[in-house]
Amino acid sequence: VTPASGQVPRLLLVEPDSLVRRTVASVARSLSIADIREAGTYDTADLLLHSDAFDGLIIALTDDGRGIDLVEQLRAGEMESARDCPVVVMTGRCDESRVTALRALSVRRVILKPFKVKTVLESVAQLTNGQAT
Amino acid sequence: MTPAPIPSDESARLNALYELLILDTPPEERYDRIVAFAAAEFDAPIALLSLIDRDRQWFKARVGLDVCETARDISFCGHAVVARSTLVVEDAALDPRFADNPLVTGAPHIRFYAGAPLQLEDGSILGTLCLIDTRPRSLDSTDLAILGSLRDLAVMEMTGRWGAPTP
Repeated sequence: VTPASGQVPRLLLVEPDSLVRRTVASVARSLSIADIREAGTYDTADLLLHSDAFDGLIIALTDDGRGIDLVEQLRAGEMESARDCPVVVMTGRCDESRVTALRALSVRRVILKPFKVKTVLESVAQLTNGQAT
Repeated sequence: MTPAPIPSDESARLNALYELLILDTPPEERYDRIVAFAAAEFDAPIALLSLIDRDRQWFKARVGLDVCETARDISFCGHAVVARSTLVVEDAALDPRFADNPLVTGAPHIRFYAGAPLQLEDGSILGTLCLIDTRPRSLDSTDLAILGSLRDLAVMEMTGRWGAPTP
């Protein structure tokens, strides 16, 4: 993540749970970890990713595959963000097939649900420090 | 024990609280959800949305506590209202203000308390979003920011104002 000098990274958080989403965004802002735009649906995320460039993506995955589709489009260079920008996913399951798919998409970190907001914030901080692996 | 002090703006504070028409109203999912979220996020056995009335603290939402109110003078939240910032008591048994408080020496045997004040735009503090544990604990800066963010969401629900969070 390489934001302009003196600026915090701009990240997109795609998470349907408004309490999780708002808390992560608010705390990241108050601690100057990142400037987080919020998307509660994949449709909103799709619009934002096609209209704006972000330094990283944090996205909750559902079983319908739409979240994976968005990451695939990002990696294919079909979005405004850099195709190699860091991606963190949050998911309720992570079987072998999903791990293989996420690895192929160079996902930096997988956070399993249920998770704590603090865990997501630590991942955001690692992303912005370039430490997530 | 130090009884919960009365703030200098008590009359205006109570008026602001009464104008919200929230005291003694039934549970609401939007508040229950915030309090349940706080309890889960912090692994706290008790979490409350506490409103400080003239002689009592009344819980609009609660996790882990059966009673819906306690006397104001023994309330931890009454101290947080006067502190005007998040009050953290890492070990009540070692704090002279609370060591012989009946909520410490008896049920629910409070040892740890963290209360973020519910402050309106006019400065009135109505109560707190608070965490309680039966063992000593501490919070780091990220924890305090998370508690503050959840408090901001509760205030926004109470006032209907979805704007910038309170500092």
